[in-house]
Amino acid sequence: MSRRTLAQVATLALAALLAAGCLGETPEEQAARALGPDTCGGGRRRGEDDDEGGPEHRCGQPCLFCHSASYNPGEKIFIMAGTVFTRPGDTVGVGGAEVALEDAAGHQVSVLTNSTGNFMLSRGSSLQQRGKGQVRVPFDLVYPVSVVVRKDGVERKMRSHIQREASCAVCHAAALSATSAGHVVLEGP
Amino acid sequence: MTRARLGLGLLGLTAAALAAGCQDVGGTVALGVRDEAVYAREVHAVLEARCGTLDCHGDARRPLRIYAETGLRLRDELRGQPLTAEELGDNLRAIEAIDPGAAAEDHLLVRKPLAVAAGGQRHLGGELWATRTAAAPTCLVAFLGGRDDAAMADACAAARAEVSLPPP
Repeated sequence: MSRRTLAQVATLALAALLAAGCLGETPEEQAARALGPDTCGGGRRRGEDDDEGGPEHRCGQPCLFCHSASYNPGEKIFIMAGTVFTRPGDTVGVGGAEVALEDAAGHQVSVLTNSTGNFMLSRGSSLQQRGKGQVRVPFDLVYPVSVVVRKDGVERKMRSHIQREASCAVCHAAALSATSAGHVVLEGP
Repeated sequence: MTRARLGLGLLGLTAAALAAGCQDVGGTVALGVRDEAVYAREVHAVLEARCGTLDCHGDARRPLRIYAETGLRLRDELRGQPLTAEELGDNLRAIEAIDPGAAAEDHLLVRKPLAVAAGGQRHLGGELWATRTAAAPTCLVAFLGGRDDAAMADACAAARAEVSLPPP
């Protein structure tokens, strides 16, 4: 093999390696894909084809994996979002629960969860309750943030503060574990 | 010199260099000098509330990993249980290890949460205390200095009152 041919082969191999590196997934894409299908449907398992978005989808999953300023295939960008369940083990959240937040700057905002228990805060020019768990707020949250959830006379205050994580489900995955406090629930532990 | 002797010589030099790299070069590491009971009684509640949430130092991937009843647990089955002596001891060792040998006033545990304007150091988790004379840094400096006196107890009690968590 001549030196020229060898150089061409080496260049092609290098180009192929670089292309392979660029064609891979980003960490954000990997995290979003790892969420799996949307199982939020009152026991009705939705396929990924049915995952068209909308404020009621993917309850209990970390919303900002797809709705953050840095990665937003879901298009809408949230500054905080999550799901409230009635009790541990529920697969669908509870509608009509009030989520009241107060940040370190004294900003207070309250939002009612939608039919699958989801709520989501976005930035806007003024305070706007937009229905289906959505609210726009005219400020950036200043951490730490304290949270209370209420429904039908039941009130639970989050024992610790939120220090920086805007997706409730990152610390509140379904299963209790060393790294998860379990879903946000109105009843139970 | 034969090739064999040259090879042996190089091997010896390499071994000596590696051994030198592993030698104690005279530094000291102050581990385990603070009291676990004092930490548990006076300090832990402050760190649990201000530092040890799951989204901050209640994450084993971060420096200064802190176990807490409301945060990271050592094992899955401990969720919902009171903090164990093992977890409290591990927290103390994490504190000792993050800035070994530092003077109490300059310890990273004090400097990181302190406002930069007050002599603190940039902290991804923000500026938690505006001045060194606030209750929490006063409590921490006393604890890191090995004290266990009434002034420290007063500062720590004030710091805990600022961050008291609601009951389960």
